[in-house]
Amino acid sequence: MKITTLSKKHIVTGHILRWCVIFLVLLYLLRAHYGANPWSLESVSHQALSSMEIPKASITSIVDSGQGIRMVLLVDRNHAMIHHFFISRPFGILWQSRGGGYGMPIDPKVLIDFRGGMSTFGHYRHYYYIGQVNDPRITTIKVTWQDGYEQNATLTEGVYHVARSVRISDDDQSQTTKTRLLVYDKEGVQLYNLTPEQREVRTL
Amino acid sequence: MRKKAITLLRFSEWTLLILFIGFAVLISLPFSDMFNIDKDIRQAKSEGVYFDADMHFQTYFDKSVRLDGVVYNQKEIIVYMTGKQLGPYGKLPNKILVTTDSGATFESLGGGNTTNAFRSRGYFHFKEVPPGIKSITVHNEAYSESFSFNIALQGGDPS
Repeated sequence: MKITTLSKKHIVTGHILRWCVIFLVLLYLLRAHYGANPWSLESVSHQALSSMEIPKASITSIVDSGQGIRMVLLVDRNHAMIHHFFISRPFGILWQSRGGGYGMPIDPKVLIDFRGGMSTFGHYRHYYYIGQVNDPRITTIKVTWQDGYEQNATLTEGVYHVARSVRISDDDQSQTTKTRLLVYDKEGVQLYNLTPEQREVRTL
Repeated sequence: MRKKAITLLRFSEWTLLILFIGFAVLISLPFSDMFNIDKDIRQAKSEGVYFDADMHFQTYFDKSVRLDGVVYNQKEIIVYMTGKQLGPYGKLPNKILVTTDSGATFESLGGGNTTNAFRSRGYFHFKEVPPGIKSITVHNEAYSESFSFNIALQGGDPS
């Protein structure tokens, strides 16, 4: 087939047109699936909170849970609430909320507390612990997981969180009573030892 | 060789186009095998228990919501609403409140909706409401966001 100059122009126009439409429809699909501005973690967090009818709060800290999953912690001092949720990175560049807990109240009478949960993503269980810290002496928080592994929690602005993933086939859930939260001051003196039976320390 | 490459490119372009457009159409079509809201509304209208609303949108937590109408048969209330938001999250409020002209407030017990990529049409129901309600305010508030719609439940032509 002989390609004349005119039909060459038509061929190129055809390609350009098709790619334009593909791009526009892709934007629509991305928006419908991941929400507005999914490349911005701020935007994704805001939408996750909005869907729970909770006002916008800024991100306090993020911890890595493994397997490409992270946990975001948001503290809203104006409304005295803490929110947390897991996020993943689709295509390596977008952010997607994978669920969590919202609206946990901040209670200034609680010196330290020890709450946790778990989410399953694929072949891994992602465990987390989260709590408030209102004793100004506290500088280090160390968590002991049910298999004995010890890890420092990330403490920022009066809240801490820590997350860890365990392969389901390696996970022994019968040992969850053995988890511990050890809390130290800046000299290394142990201040508190929290367990699943005693999950918080309050001022009187 | 170059012609083969161009043909392959053209084939991929058409394939992507058909797949993407097909998927976009699928998620945009209104489809429900669980609810037939129009049928329910027609039925209510024929019984004279459906009341139309003003049909304007208000913003509530990044969603545009609107009161479509209310069914009130002196025993129960069903509130029909439409919500709009292009994104993966719910487009209707999680729950709503109804306050009657005599000041009583009721919380929605549940509801249902059919949703596509950008629009959700659904209902919220309230059981055991008193008879003789003349008008209600459909509303909810959380932190600094709120919405509020007034609708008369008496007089006026329900059809």
